[in-house]
Amino acid sequence: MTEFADYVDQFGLVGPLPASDGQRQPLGPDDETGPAVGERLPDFTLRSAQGRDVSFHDDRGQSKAAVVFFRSAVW
Amino acid sequence: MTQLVELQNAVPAFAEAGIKLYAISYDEIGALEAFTEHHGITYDLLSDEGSAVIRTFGILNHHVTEEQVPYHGIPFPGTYLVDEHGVVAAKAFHASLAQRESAEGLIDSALGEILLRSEEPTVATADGDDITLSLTYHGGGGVMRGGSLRRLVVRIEMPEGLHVYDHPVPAGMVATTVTLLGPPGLRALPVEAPPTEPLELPGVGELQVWSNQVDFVMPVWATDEIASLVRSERPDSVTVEVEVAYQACDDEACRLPRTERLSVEVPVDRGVGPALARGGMPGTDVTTMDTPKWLGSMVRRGLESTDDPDAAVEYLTQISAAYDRGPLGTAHGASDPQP
Repeated sequence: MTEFADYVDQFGLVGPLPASDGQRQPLGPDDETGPAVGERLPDFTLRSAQGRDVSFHDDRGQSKAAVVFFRSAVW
Repeated sequence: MTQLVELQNAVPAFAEAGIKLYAISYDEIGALEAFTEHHGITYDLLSDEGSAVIRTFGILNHHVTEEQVPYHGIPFPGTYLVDEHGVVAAKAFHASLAQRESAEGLIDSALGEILLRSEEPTVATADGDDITLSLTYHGGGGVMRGGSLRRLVVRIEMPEGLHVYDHPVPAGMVATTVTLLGPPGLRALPVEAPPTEPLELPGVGELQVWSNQVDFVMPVWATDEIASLVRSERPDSVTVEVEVAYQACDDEACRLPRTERLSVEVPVDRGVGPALARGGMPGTDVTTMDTPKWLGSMVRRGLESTDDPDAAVEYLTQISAAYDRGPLGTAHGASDPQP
């Protein structure tokens, strides 16, 4: 499993990241959010936890699809 | 994580809408397999270990520096909806983690309409014998829970010939407004309404109106303020209340302006906030959100690092204050902008 580095804040406290940390920072106005509406979604091939390799456009066939990017299933 | 479980709950609804569901993270495949098994996930959780796809999409969270192991490599959380041709039809990237799109929100935007569901809390009231107003808490199976958006849907149904107004209206007339009154800690984004139709009134000019059935949609999310309430008092539900002001007219005459309050009891999940007080989500091997462990670790390290009793007391005081502020270091709800 992933090893976690201790995070030490300004008081020397070890713990979860403060609200000011990068991974908690909100999406800024200048941050890109990837492919725009109207563009074809880039294809990708990734291993699924269901035990198969998924090539996105082949796998969805002619179906509509939702692709959710999330931070982590671990933390 | 809550989001993934919510998506699982909505798998039948996605299937019904003809939408295939995929979720991608930078987690290694073993972590996703453990999560999938523990939570009975039936859709594809895809492992982008190394974040190559996240980078290709251009959504790597670059606020996290490379030194911040293991957080470096996460994406800005968001969702793409593609049509039958694989073209992006809609996407949802929100400014705050508390504002992630709900499963129902995704399905609505794929279908282009708001599908209210029978399990969602709803209340209706009649204005006279011909106008009906209803309020529905839409999304997440009708349960309040932290971590993703819900929608308050105010539906006005009126008979043929009547209409209600959008802003601006001449003095003396009332445009339709929907205002969230409570509970405290439920935050809202601006109300979304469908396009209006123009209506030419002699001597007044062109006004913008809605007729027949119109849905006013207010995206809302639960902040830590509600999470605190739920953890301390353990209510089964909270009361969500809105005020609707409007004036119905036909082409010849206007009725008196009305202000109606609608309130609906919404069941709450005990994990309404981030998984803070519960020692993290079951089914995960590592969590940084284990509050007792976190506090214990802080106290032990603090005391170990000093042989000065006064400093130790000062340290414990700081920890106590930090705990009062909440594990994320923010006062309850204070980091959320007021609507």
